Amino acid sequence: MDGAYVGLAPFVAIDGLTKRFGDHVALADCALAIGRGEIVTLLGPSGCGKTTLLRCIAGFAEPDAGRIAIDDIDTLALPVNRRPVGVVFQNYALFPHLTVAANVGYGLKMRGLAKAEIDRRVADILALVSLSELEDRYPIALSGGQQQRVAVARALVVEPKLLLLDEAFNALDAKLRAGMQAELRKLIKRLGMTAIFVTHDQDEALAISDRVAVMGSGRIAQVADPIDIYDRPVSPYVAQFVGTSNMLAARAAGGVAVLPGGVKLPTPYCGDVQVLVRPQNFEILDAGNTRAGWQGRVAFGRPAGAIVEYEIDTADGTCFKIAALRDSPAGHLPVGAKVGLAVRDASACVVFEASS
Amino acid sequence: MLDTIARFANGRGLWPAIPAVAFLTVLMVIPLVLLLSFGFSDIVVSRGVIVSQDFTLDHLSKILGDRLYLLTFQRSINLSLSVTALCLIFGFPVAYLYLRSGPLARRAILIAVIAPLLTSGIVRTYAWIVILGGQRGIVNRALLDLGLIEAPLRILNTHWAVLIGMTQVHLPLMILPLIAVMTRHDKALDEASANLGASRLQTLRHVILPMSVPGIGTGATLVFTLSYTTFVVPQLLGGGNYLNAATMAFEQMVYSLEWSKGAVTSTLLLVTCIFFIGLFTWASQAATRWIRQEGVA
Repeated sequence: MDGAYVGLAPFVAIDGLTKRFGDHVALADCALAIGRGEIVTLLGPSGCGKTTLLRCIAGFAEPDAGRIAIDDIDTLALPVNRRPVGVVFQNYALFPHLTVAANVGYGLKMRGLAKAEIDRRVADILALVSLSELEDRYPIALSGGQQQRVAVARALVVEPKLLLLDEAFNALDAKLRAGMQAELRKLIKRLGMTAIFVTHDQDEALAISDRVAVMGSGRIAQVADPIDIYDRPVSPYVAQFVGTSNMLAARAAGGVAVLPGGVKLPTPYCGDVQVLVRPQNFEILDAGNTRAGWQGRVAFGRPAGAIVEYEIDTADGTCFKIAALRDSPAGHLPVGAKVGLAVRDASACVVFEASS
Repeated sequence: MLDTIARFANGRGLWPAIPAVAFLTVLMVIPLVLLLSFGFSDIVVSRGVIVSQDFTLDHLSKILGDRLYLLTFQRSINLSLSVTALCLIFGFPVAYLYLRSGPLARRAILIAVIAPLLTSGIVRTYAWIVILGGQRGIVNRALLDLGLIEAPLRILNTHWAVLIGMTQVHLPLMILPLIAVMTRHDKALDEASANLGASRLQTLRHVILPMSVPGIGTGATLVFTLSYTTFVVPQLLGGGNYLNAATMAFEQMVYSLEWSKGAVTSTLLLVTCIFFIGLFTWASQAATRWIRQEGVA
């Protein structure tokens, strides 16, 4: 439940990894265990250390302390060009002077394989990513999605033990992105490959991974499966980074925190607490309804597919972010409408200590 | 008419090129046409004024039949190709070092490359006289003191002095285009190459070198053109007994006042030079094509 790796000895074991750039601590004692065939995403804002962690694994950066083992091999002892790791770079880093086939075959050529063997394996992998008919093109003549597939094929063809993808979908437009995410996840699962994605995009992290590691200030804040990260964040930082959140101040006493409207939440904390309520966990009532914990006015409404996202301001200046189904009675509220708000499900709220 | 004026005001079409074209016409095209006409005519000069000019192919046919010219042009081509090759051999590692360096070292390299360009080529050439010259020159003194040689080497006033001096004077012109290429080089490509199993040497061979070909082409063209056409370095370091095509044209024009001969020599120099520029351009494109095809293997 806490997202720790459960199983046999982990396939990828990262321990105590620390990296400083001068005074700046990029990685502070990071630990992560990944099972064989698992897809893990490092999620965090820019500068949180996720890219540094990836670069340490690939060998582009040298950690100051710590240990990285892949399949029980001490990876830090290996030079950068001997690590069993394939990287898909942020802007793909395709060799502009080489064709698709030559880009993909580059790693095999560096390993000194025979030409016939290289041709066969390049043809196989290009067929796998449906690029066979483009093998003679140069990268500049490819679309973003095609370039990404070449980059993935180039990393996979040398049969790495671990695949690293640095903001692999950044350069793609939103519509293409969702499709490629699903494609890539299916491909990686089909090959049984272990993979680490790095992204700042929470939707991408939730869509593609078995587990998500949320990072902040060089530390791993929480590792858990995507649903747990969303439903049971361990800190306000994680809660606010993943999904939309309302953080409500409340007081706890005798093991119970009480929200306006009489909602009681069990908690081990005492005194000031913060309560996370997700936008869809609010019920929109008529103004003046006695069940309502808060009264407010609609400040903004935005249809987002099947739901409508509202911002509702209360008299004390708090802004609530609320989501309602569009075909519900609350689906068509005009700006300025007076409404009451109540928490739907107390068990879906998360209580944090106010100081954390 | 109104349309034309409007287009002119908009700066569209070829209008913006007019000042440059006018400038070059006056200062380059007209003198070149005059030069060509001198080569194809007998001229009589009196008190610095051309009094008669009659068309003839005599000068051209004489010069084309003269072995001295053939040898001189061969020497010029040999020298310039050698200088170009040496500049590439010495310059590429500097550019590679630049690529591998941090921002501070990069600035230092850039200053070291550009600084010599701020002093005149003549001054730098004179410096070589001090370094290479006679018994007291730095090179000979050092070699004598070390006991490596028993008598001073004769370097100054030979082909070698010209080669050494010219390589030094023109080296920055090879390094700068290479550095321009290296500045644009995406380091992620080197990382990708290493990640795919390439050693540093393999990355240099398969990624950095192929991507430097345009820079090598530009640098080689610059160095060759200047080495082929300069007469200052050969005159100073060759000590007057080193004759190449550029020196010959200069002497015919300025010392012996054989303007027609000088004009033919200059024209041949120009034509052969353009030929070599074309050759370098072709070679650089062919190299790019070859690298691309070879990469498929």
